[in-house]
Amino acid sequence: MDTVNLVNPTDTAERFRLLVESIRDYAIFTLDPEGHVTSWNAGAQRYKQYRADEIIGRHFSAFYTPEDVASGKPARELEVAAREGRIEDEGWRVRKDGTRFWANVVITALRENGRLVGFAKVTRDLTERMQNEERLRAAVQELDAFAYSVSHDLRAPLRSIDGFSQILLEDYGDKLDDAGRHALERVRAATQHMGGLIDDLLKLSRVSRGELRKERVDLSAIARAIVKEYTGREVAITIAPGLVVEGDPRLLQVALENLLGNAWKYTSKRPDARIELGEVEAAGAAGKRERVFYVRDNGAGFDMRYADKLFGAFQRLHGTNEFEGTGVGLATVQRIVRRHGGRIWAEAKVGEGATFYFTVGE
Amino acid sequence: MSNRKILLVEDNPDDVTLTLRALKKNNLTNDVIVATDGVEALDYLFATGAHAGRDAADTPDIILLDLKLPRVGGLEVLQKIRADARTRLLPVIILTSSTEEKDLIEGYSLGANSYVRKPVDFVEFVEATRELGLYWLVYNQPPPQHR
Repeated sequence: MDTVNLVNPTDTAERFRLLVESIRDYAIFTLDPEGHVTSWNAGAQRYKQYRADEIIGRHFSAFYTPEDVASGKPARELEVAAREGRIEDEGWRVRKDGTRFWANVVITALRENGRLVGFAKVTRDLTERMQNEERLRAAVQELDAFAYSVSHDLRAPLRSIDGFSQILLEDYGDKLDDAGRHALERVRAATQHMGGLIDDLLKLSRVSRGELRKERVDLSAIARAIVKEYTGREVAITIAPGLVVEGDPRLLQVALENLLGNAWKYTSKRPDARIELGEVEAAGAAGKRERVFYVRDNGAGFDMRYADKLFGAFQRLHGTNEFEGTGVGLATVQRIVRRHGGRIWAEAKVGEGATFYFTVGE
Repeated sequence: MSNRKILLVEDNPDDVTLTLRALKKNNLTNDVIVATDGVEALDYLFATGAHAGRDAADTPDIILLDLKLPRVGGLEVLQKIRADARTRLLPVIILTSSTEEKDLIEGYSLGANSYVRKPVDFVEFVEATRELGLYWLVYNQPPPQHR
């Protein structure tokens, strides 16, 4: 048993005050009901640059930008906090020297026996996180622009390799034996395969670029149009009606083309092939019901041990001699789903089929 | 189509060889002028520079235009073609490796008649050239002021 006496309430309050005062990573301070600063911790001094004796007693609107002060935001935030108990906000705040930082702010109303006695305010400096996000976004954009220009410049020599191989076959084919002609055919096949890889890379970079549109998208209608193109085999295709979401119609079409196209491809060796697009409801974060869509097939499936490789670009779980492909399709789908704020995962069994689940954000 | 004339604007010598071969395989080679950049193409069309003294009224029947060209790019060539009364109505077919939406929109906005992406597969390219030649040099009725 701990022998330190923690029962004395004033002692606990004092310890708590000392604890809060020493926190450096959060600005934690209190306000009176009118918004004047009544306490100040180390984090507050670090972020806002005021010493306790400089700021206690002053109004907290000093931390807001002149624009926010002019629009009455500080008073509004206290109003909401008093009414609803709490308010959270993210935005620019001002340090003592006038520089700005991007802050996450939570204001909580403090009540004693129902009477408002003030507010507790916790502020985090997110400037660095925001700058990192911006740097990351710029790097991704640069990478995609690079992938794009490389994709174009790589196609030109491929056309030459393929074209001149074909010229050799046409004009000098009679001077070559079967092995020689076969070698040239292999050159052409490889060239065209590389052309396919480059095209897929280009598509992958394309889904990351450009604005994400938000409009009403009927996944069922898109899927029906896609599978209309699938001919030459008997496949039982079921598409649940009315799967309507908010999202980018062009990108969601690309995602469905890839998922349904995979289902079509990997069921090609089954006489009783089945493909299904549907929706299930699942418990999402914070107890909210979440719409989960799925594309299910009874095709070749895959070994779940390799599931983590499924969505990597140029990763394949089947040999090219078994099923054609470049390994870019699911990477593309994942990017599209993520851009929408959704998730994608899969369940499968070798020889029994695969189910790809995805959400499209809220 | 014996007296039809094609202006091919293309800087990559391999692409020139392959395009000429594709045209030849489809009996479309009677008269192909090759310009290896935008300046040369414009000089030819407007009888300036290296082509001063040529009869500018003797325009090609179609122009096959690459977009990525040294000195003056394909889109700028197209713009100048459309801005001049002598060449304003000439059929221009963009022949490029780009399928970038921006290039397509700009190409069509500037008045390209057609936009074709060069396939990697040469057999496909020969077929595309055949259909292009057939359409633009045989079936298509050229603009009246021309010929």
